[in-house]
Amino acid sequence: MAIDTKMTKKEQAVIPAPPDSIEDNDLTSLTRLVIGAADIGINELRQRLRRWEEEIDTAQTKEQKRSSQIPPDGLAVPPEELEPRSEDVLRYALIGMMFDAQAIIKSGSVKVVKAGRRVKRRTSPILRPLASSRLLSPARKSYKKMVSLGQRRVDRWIEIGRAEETHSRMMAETALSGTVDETIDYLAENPGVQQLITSQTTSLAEEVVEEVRERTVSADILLEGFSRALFRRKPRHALPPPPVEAQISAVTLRADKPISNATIKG
Amino acid sequence: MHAIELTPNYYDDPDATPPNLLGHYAGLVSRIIAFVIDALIVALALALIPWLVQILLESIGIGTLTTRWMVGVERLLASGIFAILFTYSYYAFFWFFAGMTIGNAVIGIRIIRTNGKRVGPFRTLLRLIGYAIALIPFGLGFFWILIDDRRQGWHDKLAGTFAVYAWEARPDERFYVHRFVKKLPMSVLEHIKLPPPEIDNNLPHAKNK
Repeated sequence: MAIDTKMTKKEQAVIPAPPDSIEDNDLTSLTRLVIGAADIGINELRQRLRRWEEEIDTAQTKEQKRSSQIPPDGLAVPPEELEPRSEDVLRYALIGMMFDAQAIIKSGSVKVVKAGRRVKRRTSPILRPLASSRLLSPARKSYKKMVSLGQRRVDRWIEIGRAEETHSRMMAETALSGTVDETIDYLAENPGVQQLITSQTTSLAEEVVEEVRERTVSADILLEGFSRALFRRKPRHALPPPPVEAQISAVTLRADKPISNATIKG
Repeated sequence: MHAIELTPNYYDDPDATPPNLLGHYAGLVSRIIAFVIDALIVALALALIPWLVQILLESIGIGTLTTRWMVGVERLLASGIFAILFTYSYYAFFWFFAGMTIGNAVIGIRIIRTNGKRVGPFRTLLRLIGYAIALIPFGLGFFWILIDDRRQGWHDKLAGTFAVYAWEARPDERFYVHRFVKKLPMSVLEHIKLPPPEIDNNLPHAKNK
C-alpha cells in the first residue's frame, strides 16, 4: 500500500509495514495455517450444509408425495401418535427457542440499525451549528485526523487480509495434502500395517480357494455317483487306495530315486 | 496297508467329519476346472505374446521386416507351431518342476506317474496326445474318469499317470449333504453313499490326522 507522503512521522510510526514486508516467523505461519484451515473448513462445511439441506428437502418431498397417496382409512398415523408426549414437550420448546432466537436476533439487529439512522437523521440538524462552530474547530481537526488514521488502518487491514487469505489458504492446502501424503507413506512403510493388509488379503484368498476346492471335491463324488446310477453300475463302496508312492508324491513331489521303506514309515 | 478308523459316512451322519482324501485320485470336476484354468492361461498367453513381440520388434525397427514374409498359410502354420510348442512347454515345465500347473495348483491336484515319480517331457507329450485322443469320441476319454477305478482318463492310461489330491481334500458336507443329497431319490443316493476311502496309517501325512 502506498503510504500518503503527507503523513506525519508519528502517523508513519503508528501504521505497521505493508503486507509484502510482513516477517515470516513461526507465529505468522501458524496464524496463516489456522486462518487457512478455518477458511477451507468453513467453505467445505457450508457446501455440505447446503447439500444436506437439498437432500433432506428432496427426501421430504418424496415422503409427502408418498403419504398423500395413502388412503385416509389405510395406513394413516393414529391420532394418539400425533400428540407429543409430555417429556418431549420441553425438548421441542428448547429446540424451537434456538431457531426462534436466531430470527429474533436478526430482526432485532435490523431494528437497531434503523433506529440509529433515525436518531442521526433527527439530531444532525440540531447539532450541526454546534459542530461547525469555530469554538470546536481544534477538536474537529483532531477528530478528522483520528478518522483518517483509522480509515487508513482499516484499508491496510483489508489489503493484508486479501493477500493473507490466499496465502493462508494455500498454506492450509499444502499442509493438508502433505499430512495426507505423510500418513499414507507412514501406513505404506509401516511393517505392522503391511503385515495386517497382507494377512487379511492372504487369508481371504485362502478361504476362497479352500471353498472352491471343497466344492469341487464334493462335485467329484456327486458326479461319479450320478454317472454310476445312470449306467446302472454297482455303487462304489470304497475308493481304491493309490500306491504308497503316489500318496507320498501328492504331498511332496518325489525326486527320481527309488523310494525306501524308511521314507514310508516316516 | 491297513485302514485307519474313520468317522461314519457323512450321508449317514451329517455332523461327522468327512474323510481326508489327500493323496487319493482326483475326480472329473476338479480336473476339468483345473484344465479350464490352464486353457485360459495358455490362450491368454498365446494372444498376448505375439502382440508383445510385435511391439518389441517394431520398437527396434524390424517389425515390418518380420511380418512381411509371414503371410497367409505360412503365418498360420507358424502360429500353429508356436501355439503347440508353447502349450507343450507350459505343461512340461510345470508338471516336471512342480507336478502341477497353475490350474492344478488352484484346485489342489498333482499329476504324477503311477510309480510316484515326476512327469517328464516324454510323458507330457504322451499325455497331451492322450488329450487329443480322449477328445475325439466326444470327450469319452475324459468321462472315463467317472467309471474308472483309479479315476484315470485315456490320457492318463496312455502316459501312465495319476491325478491325485495334493491337499487335505474333504468334501464340503454342508454343501454336499444339505443342498443336493437330501433332495435326490433313493436310487441315486445308493450310488452316492461313499464309505470313506482306505488310507494307510503309516504314511507321513496320515499320522497327524
